Amino acid sequence: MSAQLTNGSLPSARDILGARVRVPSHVIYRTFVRETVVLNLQTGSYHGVNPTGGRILDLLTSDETVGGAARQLADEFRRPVSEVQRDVYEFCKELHGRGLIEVSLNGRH
Amino acid sequence: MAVTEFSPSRLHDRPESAMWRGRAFGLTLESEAPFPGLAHCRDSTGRVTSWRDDDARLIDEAWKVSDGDVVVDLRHTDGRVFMRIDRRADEGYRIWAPYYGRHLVSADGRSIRSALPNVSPWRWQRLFFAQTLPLASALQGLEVFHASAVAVGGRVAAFVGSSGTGKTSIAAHLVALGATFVTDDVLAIEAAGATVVAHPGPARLSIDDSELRRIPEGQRSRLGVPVGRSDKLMIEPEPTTAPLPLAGLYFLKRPASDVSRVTIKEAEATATRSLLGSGFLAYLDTPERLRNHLDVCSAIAERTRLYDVLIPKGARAREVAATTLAHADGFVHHAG
Repeated sequence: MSAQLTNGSLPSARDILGARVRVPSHVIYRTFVRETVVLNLQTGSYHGVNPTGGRILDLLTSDETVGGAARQLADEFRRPVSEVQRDVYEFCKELHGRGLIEVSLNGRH
Repeated sequence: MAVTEFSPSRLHDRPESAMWRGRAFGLTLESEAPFPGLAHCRDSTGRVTSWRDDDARLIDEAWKVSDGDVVVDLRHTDGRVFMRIDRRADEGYRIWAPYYGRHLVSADGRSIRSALPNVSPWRWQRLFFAQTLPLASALQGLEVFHASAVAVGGRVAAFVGSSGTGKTSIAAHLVALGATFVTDDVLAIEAAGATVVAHPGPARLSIDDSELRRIPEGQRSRLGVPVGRSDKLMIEPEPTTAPLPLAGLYFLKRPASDVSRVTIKEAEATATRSLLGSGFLAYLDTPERLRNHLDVCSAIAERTRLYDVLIPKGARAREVAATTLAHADGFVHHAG
């Protein structure tokens, strides 16, 4: 059974570790020197993400699960995995709440 | 036996070779007669827009005032229309300003039909060059920015800033100091491969008399000849005739309280947003245009230099121009 979350609230941090994230076709993002800009082509709304957020977004959309992205980031930034998992979850919640990502709970896009 | 394909419906069209062609904002404008203010070109390569001067009655029959969605409605303080732009899905745009004419721009930007008022060309051209042609350019896939620009050493330096920061005055002083005119107020940009290309605008520059007087007499002739006057003097400068690589953007910050003289430094973190916010024709918000705008801004940020120009209160455009020219001369040659 597919569980695609396109809006509304996300399940708990633990529940989405195996989920995958995708950017819907009406959303694009481009990386600038000091921030990543996410643009909703349907609404024309721009959203700024700092470089760390941009890196998270890159990992999340590179066919990595949320948990896998958190592990890689923990490695890159030398932070405890549990701490990074919380940050990634909050980031996903923020983007999801703004309709900028879709989350697939069964781990497939 | 020679076989030639022809279309009966086009037998009475004007032969293509008889069309006059001029270029601005990355478009080749084809018209039946020379179009003042545009650099003449022989071929019609690239993006082509046909222009026709039509009877006002035909324009009004094709598009009634009540038709379409109003996307821009600027009024004088007494309520009279200053400029209005309407959009009809799939058909395009109607631009209208009393005493400046009305123009129908097709949705793909390849055709413009105009009903012109009976005034000097330079007057109706103000609307045409400020709104109509930039719209056609954007509809044909170029990105248009609210900026003035000059060329130094074969590369373009552009000036971005809110109204009143002196974009035009600085460009005028730079031309007087030896730079080449590229455009006044609207700049068409294209991200082509590894290069960001700036396309010249029409040969028109509007300048305040007071600002013109600040240009030393011996340098004024470099700006070109006056072609008309309203609230400002309209001049026809000699523009660059070909697209040139964009070397950098200068964000004009006026007044800057933390400097005592004009200071240029690497742009702050907010430059991304300043760049995104400097797009022209905000009403053109289709997904294609939004995507192109973000892509071109991304290319500009990646492949050119972004600088802040901090201008203290009271600093003259001349001083800004001289400081910028020295700076641009350095980084253009370094980048080139």
